[in-house]
Amino acid sequence: MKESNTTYKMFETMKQHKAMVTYHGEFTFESINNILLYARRDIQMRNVQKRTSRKVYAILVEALENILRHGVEKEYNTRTTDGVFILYKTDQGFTIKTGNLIKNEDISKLKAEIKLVSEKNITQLKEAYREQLRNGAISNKGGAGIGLIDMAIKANKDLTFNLFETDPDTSFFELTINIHQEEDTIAA
Amino acid sequence: MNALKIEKTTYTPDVILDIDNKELSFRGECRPENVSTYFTPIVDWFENLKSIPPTSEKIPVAFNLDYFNSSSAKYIMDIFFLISDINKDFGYNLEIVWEYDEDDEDVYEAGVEFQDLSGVMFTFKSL
Repeated sequence: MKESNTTYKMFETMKQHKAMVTYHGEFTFESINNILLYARRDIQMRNVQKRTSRKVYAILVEALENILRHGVEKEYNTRTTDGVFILYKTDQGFTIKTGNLIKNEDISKLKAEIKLVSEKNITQLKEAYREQLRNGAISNKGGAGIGLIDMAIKANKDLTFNLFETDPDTSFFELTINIHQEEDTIAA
Repeated sequence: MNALKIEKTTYTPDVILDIDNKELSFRGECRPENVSTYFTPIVDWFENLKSIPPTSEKIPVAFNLDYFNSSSAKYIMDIFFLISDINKDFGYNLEIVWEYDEDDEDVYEAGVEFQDLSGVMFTFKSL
């Protein structure tokens, strides 16, 4: 019975923490589409302000695409990466947590982005975003290099990162983003 | 000039680029699997417009994007730069019409940002 007990504990932990959507496994464009579909439906059913639900959706897309674009590819299918994703309901709004392995040879750009997001305020981040739109280029991974900046602006900088080596070739990147629910206001 | 039509999917907009019928529009969500593959024919279509004799008539280009990801934003910006060139140097009068949901401040603000960066005046239309 020990095995089933483990599953129950996982289930209870997720429930206690108000996990809405949880995913661990292969990240492909198709799996992301499905996660977004479930997440959007769940958010909409909670009667949150349209503006909040749009914000959560926008951040979800960037966070999930980051795993797909920068995660370590599976040996048997280079369109697939491995990662973990959890969307929580919190008292303040929503929290998104993602985690993925990343090759150490690919972390310099990520480190630079983390440094930028940590050091700059919202106004400066908006300027950095504009600068990338004006003069940036699309990388060979298909990103505009503004995903993290975009998420930071949308979440009003309420986000934390953690990047640590798991072995000489690989690191693990954890990202937590809090989105504050806007107060219900009655339209004038 | 040949029209370019791309049907809407859950993650890409309905695109109509038909200069002969003066119908130019982008409508829907935009987060394609591969941005460069997706946008290349669109960018090429605008590039080709430069070699087509213009009419001075005002032609609207409608953008009704309820969501676009950050890598699409980069390409959308490029399209605005192209439209700016086409108007300035090739005699067209393309009018960017930025459509947004009445209560969607974020999309409205994104439009203002694109307008400021591209130097082209947008017409804002709340729906």
